Amino acid sequence: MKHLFKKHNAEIVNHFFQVLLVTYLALLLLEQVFPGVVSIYLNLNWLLIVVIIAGVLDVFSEHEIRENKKPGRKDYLFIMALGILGFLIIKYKTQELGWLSWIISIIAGILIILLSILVLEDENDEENTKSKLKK
Amino acid sequence: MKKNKEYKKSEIGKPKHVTYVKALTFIIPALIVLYLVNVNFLIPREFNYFYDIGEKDYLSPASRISVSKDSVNLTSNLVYFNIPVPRNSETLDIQVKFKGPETLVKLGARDREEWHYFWKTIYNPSLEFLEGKEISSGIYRINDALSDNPNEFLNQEGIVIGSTIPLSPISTELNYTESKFTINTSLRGSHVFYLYLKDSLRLNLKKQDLNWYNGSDELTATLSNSSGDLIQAITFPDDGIVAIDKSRARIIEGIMIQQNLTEGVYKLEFSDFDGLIRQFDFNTGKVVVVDKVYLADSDIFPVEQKPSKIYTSFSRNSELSAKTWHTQGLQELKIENKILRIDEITNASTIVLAKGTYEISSEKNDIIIEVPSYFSFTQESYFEPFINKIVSVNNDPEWIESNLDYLVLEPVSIRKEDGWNVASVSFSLKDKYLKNNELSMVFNIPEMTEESEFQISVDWINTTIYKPSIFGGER
Repeated sequence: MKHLFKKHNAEIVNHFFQVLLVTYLALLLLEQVFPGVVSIYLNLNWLLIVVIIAGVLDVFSEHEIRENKKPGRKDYLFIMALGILGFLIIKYKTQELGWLSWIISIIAGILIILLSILVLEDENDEENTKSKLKK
Repeated sequence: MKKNKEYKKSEIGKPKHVTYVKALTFIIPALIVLYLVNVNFLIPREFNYFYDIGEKDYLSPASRISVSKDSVNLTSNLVYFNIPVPRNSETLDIQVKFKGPETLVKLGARDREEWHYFWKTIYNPSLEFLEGKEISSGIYRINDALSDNPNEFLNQEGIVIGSTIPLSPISTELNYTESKFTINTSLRGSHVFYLYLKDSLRLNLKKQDLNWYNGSDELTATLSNSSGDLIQAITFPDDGIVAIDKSRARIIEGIMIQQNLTEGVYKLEFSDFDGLIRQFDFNTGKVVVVDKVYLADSDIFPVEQKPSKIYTSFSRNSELSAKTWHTQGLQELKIENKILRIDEITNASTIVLAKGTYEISSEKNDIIIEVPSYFSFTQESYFEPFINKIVSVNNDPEWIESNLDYLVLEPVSIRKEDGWNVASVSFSLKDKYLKNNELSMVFNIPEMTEESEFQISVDWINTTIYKPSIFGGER
C-alpha cells in the first residue's frame, strides 16, 4: 500500500491525530459530566470532523514499528486511576438511582480495571509469542 | 537510564521542525481550554436565541397548536417550549410577539422537578381600566378610601389583595391544638390549602383516578411556608391505568409527613390531575382552601352522590361564583338563606354577598365555587391565615373593582406592532429547574378551554439570557 505520509511527516500526522482525539474525548467527557459547559459555546461535531479527517490521514500514513515494553508499575497505576475516574463519573451520573448507583459504579470501575489489565497483558503475551517464533 | 539515553538519541536524530510542530499541536487543546474557561467563568455574556415560530417546531404538543403561514396558533391551553440556559445564568428576558382576542396570557418558567411553573402575566386586558390607580410599580389601589402608600398596604388588616405574584403577608397567630381532622368531601382538580401547624404535618390522603383522559395521573402535593419557600414535595402515584377507562378505579392511599415545623401558617398545594381526592386526614384542626373549591361527590364521577357543606367568610362585600361543566351539575346552591341557581353549564352564576360568614350547601355537587376568600369544611376549622386576604386575580375589571382593595401584578411592558402585541417580561433564573441545561417554558391562557373556539397566534419569541462572570458585576 502506498502511504500518504512517510517518516517524520507521518509522525506529525499521527501526533496531531492523537492530540485531537484526546482533546475531543476529554471535551465529550466534560460535556457528559457538566452538560452545557462545552456544547453551548463550541459545536463538538466540528471538532469530530477534524478528528475523523486526521484519523483517516493517519491510517494511510506510514507507522513506525514499536518496540515492545513489559507493562510496568506506572501502567498499572494508570489503569487504577482510570478505573477510579470511571467509578466517580458513573457514580455522579447515576446518583439519582440511590443504592443501585453504588453497585453500578463499583462494578463498572472494577470492569474498567480488569479489562484494561487483560488487554495490557494480552498484548504483551502476543508480542512475546511473536518474538519467540521469530527466533 | 539506558531507556532514557535511547529516547534522547532518537529525539536528537529528528529534524528540529518535527519537534516544533509536535509541540505546536498542543496549542489547539490549550486554546480550546482557555476559551472554555473564559466563556464559562471569566467574562459576563448575553445569549440571544430567536425563535421564528413559523419556521421550526419549537412549540409542543402538536395537538394544542395549528400552523399557519408565518405563525403558530395556540388552540389549547398549556403549550410548551424549551430554552437552552448556560450554567450560572442569572436572568432571562423574553419577548413574545402575538395576537388574539382580549384575554389573559401568562408565561410560566418551570421551577420544580415535578410539574410546577412560576407564572408571569404577559398580557392582561384588564390593565387598561387600571390607568391612574398605580401607586407603585405593579401595585394598584382599587379602593380609594385606603392608603396610597405602597409600603403600608400589606400591613392593613381585613383588606383583600388580589395578586399574581407571591407576596409575604403577615401571618395570624392562633393557639394551636393538635387534633385529628378529616375531610371526606371529594375534590377534583388543583386546590391550595392553608394549614396552621406546629412541630409537624401528618397527612393521610386517599386518591382515586378517573382515567377520563390518556396518560398517567400522578398527584403532587407541595408544602411550603407562608412566604412560599418549598419545604417538601411528594407525588402520589398513578393507579396503573394510563388509557381511557371510565370504570370505577381503585382508591390509592398515601401519606405525607414533615417534622420540625415552627408554629405558623403553611401552604399545601395539590396539583391538577385526572382524578379525585376522596379523603384527607390532617393532624391539625385549622384547614382552609384558598379561592376555589371543586366539589365532586356527584354521580357523574364514580362515587356515591351525597350533599356537601362548606363555609366561607368575607370582610367586605364580595362575589361568589359557581359553575358546572355538566348538566348533572345544574342545581340550586344554598348560601345560608339565599339560593343561587346554576341553570346553564360552562357559564358561572354569581351572587354578591355582604360582609359575614356563610354556610354553602350543595345537593348534587359537580360544581366549582370561587370566592375572594377561603373555604373550610367545618365551621370550627375555618381560620384567617393572614391579617389580610391574599387571593388570586379574576381577569374581569368589574370583579376586580367589586372584590379587591389592592391589586398586585408583576411589571410587564407591552407595545403594539402592526396589529400584533409585543410583550416583554423578565425571569430570574436562580431558582428555576433546568433539565439537560434547558428551561421548560409554557404559555398559559386560562380562559382557553377545550370548548373555546378562539386562538392566539404567536409570530416569534426572542430570548436573552444573561450570565455574569464569577467575579460578579452589574449587567
